[in-house]
Amino acid sequence: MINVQKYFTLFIFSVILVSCTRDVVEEFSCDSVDIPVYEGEVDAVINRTCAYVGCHIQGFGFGDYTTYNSILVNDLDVFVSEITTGDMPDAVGSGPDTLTTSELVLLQCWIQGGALEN
Amino acid sequence: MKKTYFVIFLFISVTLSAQEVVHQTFKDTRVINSHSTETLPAGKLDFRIGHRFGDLAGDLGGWPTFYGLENASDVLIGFEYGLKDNLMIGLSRTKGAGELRQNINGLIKVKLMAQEVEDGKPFSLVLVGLATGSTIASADGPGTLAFFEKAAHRLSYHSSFIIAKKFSNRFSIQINGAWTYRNLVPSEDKNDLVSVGLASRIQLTKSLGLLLDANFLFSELRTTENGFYNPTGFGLEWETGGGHVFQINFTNAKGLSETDFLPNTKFNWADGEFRLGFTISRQFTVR
Repeated sequence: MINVQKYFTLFIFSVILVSCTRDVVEEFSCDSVDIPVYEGEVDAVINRTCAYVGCHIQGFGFGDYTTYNSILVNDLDVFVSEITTGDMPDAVGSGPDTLTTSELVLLQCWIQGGALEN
Repeated sequence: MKKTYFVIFLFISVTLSAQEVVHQTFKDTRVINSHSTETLPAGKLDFRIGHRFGDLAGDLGGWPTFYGLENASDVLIGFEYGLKDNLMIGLSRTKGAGELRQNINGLIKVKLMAQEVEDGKPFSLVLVGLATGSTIASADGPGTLAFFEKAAHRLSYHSSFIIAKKFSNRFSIQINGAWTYRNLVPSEDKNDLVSVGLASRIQLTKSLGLLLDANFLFSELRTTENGFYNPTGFGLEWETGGGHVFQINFTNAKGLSETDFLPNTKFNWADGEFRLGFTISRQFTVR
C-alpha cells in the first residue's frame, strides 16, 4: 500500500526546494529611452487602455483622460503608482486589464520627462 | 472488588476527559484574512468562494462604484479536503490583487496539537504552508515583476504557525508567526517578509459572533510613509442553523491569499480604502 500522504508531502517539499530563487526586478530607468510625448505616442496607449467608453472619458467619476489637458488635471504621481502596481488598468472596464511592458515604460518615461504635449 | 472497579472507572474517566478535544475554537478554517487553527475533518471536501469588493469609500469608492460593490478586488474559488482530521490540503484560484495575478494556490495545513478540556493540552497548534504561482502572460521585457525570466519567478510561498486557545464558548484568541517568501520582488523590496498575526472570536449573542483579525509586518520597507499598511479586518458571523455560518467582513486588504495580502496591502482605513468581503463555504462528505 503506497503511503499517499508521505509521497504527497515529499512532492510538495521537492517542488518548493527546486523552485526557489532570490531575485529582484532590474532597476527601471528612462535614461536609455527617448522621452515620449503625448501627441502620437502616449495618446494612443491611453486611448486603448484607459479612455474608452465606460471608463476614463468625460463625465467619469475618476478622471477624464481623453485630452492632454484633462489628463494633467489629475495627480500624475497617483497615475504612475496605479499603473506600476498593476492596479490600473483593472478588469472592471471592457478594455485590457494589463499594460504591456513597452506601454508601461512609455507612460512612466512620459511623466518622468515632464509630460510633454508634443 | 467494588473499590477496584471504582478506581478503574475513575482512571478511565479521567483519561478520557483529558483526551476530549475542544471543538470550534473558530467556526471556519479562516478568521477573516488569516487561517484559523480549524482543519477539515477527514473525508470532508470544502468548496469555497471568497470575495473582496472594491473600496467602500475614498477616491475609488462611494456612489460611482456603489460603495465598491460593483468592483471585485479579489475572488477566490477553490476546493479543500481533509485527508485526516488533522491534515488538510487545498487548491484554489485567486484573481490576485497585487502585480502577480491569475494565481493558483496550493495549501497544506496540519494540526500538530489540539486543545483539550480541563487539564489537557492548553492550546491548539497548527502549521500552514501555501505556495502561489501566477499564470499571467509574461511581459514583453524586463523592468516589471510580470517579466518572468525564470519560471520560478512566478512563485511565492507562505508558511506560518498558529497557536489558538478557546477560553470559553464566548471567547477565542490566536496568534500566528509567519514567513512569506517571494522569488522575485521589485528592486527596492526584499524577498523575505516576516509577520505576526492576532485574531479573536467573541460570541456576542447565541447566534452572532464578532471576529477580529490583524497581521503586523516586520519590515522597514513596509511603513505608512512608504504607503504600506498592516492588513486588518473585523467581521460578523451568524449561525444560520444546520451548522452553516454566514460571515461578512470589512478589511483594508484586497488580496485573499497570504502571499498576496501580506506584501501588497497599501490601503488605509482612514482614506476609505476598505471593503466588504464574504466567504461561501459548503462541505461535502466524500468518504
